[in-house]
Amino acid sequence: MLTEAQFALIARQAKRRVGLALKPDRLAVVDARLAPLARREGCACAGELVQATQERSDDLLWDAIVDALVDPSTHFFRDRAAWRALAERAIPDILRGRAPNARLRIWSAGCATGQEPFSLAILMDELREEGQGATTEIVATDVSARLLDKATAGIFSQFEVQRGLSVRRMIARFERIGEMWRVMDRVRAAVRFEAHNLMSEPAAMGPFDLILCRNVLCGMDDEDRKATLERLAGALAEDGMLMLGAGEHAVDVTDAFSRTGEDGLFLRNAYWRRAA
Amino acid sequence: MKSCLVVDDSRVIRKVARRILEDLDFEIEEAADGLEALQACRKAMPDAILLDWQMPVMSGIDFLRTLRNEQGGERPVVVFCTTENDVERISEAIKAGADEYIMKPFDGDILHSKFAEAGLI
Repeated sequence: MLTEAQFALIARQAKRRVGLALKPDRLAVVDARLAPLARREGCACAGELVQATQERSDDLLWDAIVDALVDPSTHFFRDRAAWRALAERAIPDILRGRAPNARLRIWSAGCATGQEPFSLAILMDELREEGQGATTEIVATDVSARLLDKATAGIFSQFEVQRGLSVRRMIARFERIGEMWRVMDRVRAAVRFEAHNLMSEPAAMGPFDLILCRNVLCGMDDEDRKATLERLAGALAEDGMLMLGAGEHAVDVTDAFSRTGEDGLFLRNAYWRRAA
Repeated sequence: MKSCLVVDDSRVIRKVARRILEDLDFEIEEAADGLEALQACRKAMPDAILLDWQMPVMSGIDFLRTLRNEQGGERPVVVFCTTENDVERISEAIKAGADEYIMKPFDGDILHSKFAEAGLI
């Protein structure tokens, strides 16, 4: 088992690198999460893994350690209420403020293995088929190269493809390859994957009409959450919207956003400017 | 409380499905093939049917086609639950009147997700 000093070292690195706040009661969980990486690196346990970082001249092992601690859990159309709010409130509201042939830009921030951006692509495709969508560019980012590799491939197990997808959506947008299911080219082409750390400036990527950043901020302390929210606000159009995870808040630590009345959905305040 | 008829020739699968669905607040009846299922439906039409494809006596797809032509047989929400995973087979099931489709092996998460998609939860 990790010592408290080793755990404190990991916690410091996780906060500094990706803003992940690890409370002391997570020691056993972190220890277990790092076991597979420790084995791959030829270490007997997570503690030895931390010791190994001291003997390395580069930072790659710390990258791998923090990467292993990032929560990868996601599924298609996760949280049905949120997707209803997106389809019935957020996207129509944004489209009303745009020229009829405007291009919508959406950012899936912290996309893990890609289920969220692909759900977005499917939703926008369906809205277009109903005559109420718009041409959409979806940028999907994650800090973890491991998760991003899987997302970029767009290939999902039979288990993954049955969580959150109706059978009609599944056979309309995926093709079976052996025991796996690959998202069709038309859906795949709507999403651009990039590596990005939410702790750094998203300068060149914006502005976006809508940002989804769900179940990421809940792992941060208030200081990092505020800074991240304001970076996201800075990447939004003046009337852009932000979708957080169910129960996550944007208005308690910053005045960049207002509530919309929908759980997890926030509107950027047009007057808001980042402090210089 | 909604009712669900679990149709599968494997007693183990019926037991697993029963345990998951009872946790989701369904009242469970069981049938071991399509003909038994048809008899159960004629006695009392369930709200939902979890349906295997390959079974002795009468297959799931033959049962579904017969059911959809019976008085009141359009009402139950039918969720296939089978090892068949060809897109053609899935399309065939939807055409025959299936509302949702589960490819085995399944777990509680998948059953929950698919019953939600079908509007049962």
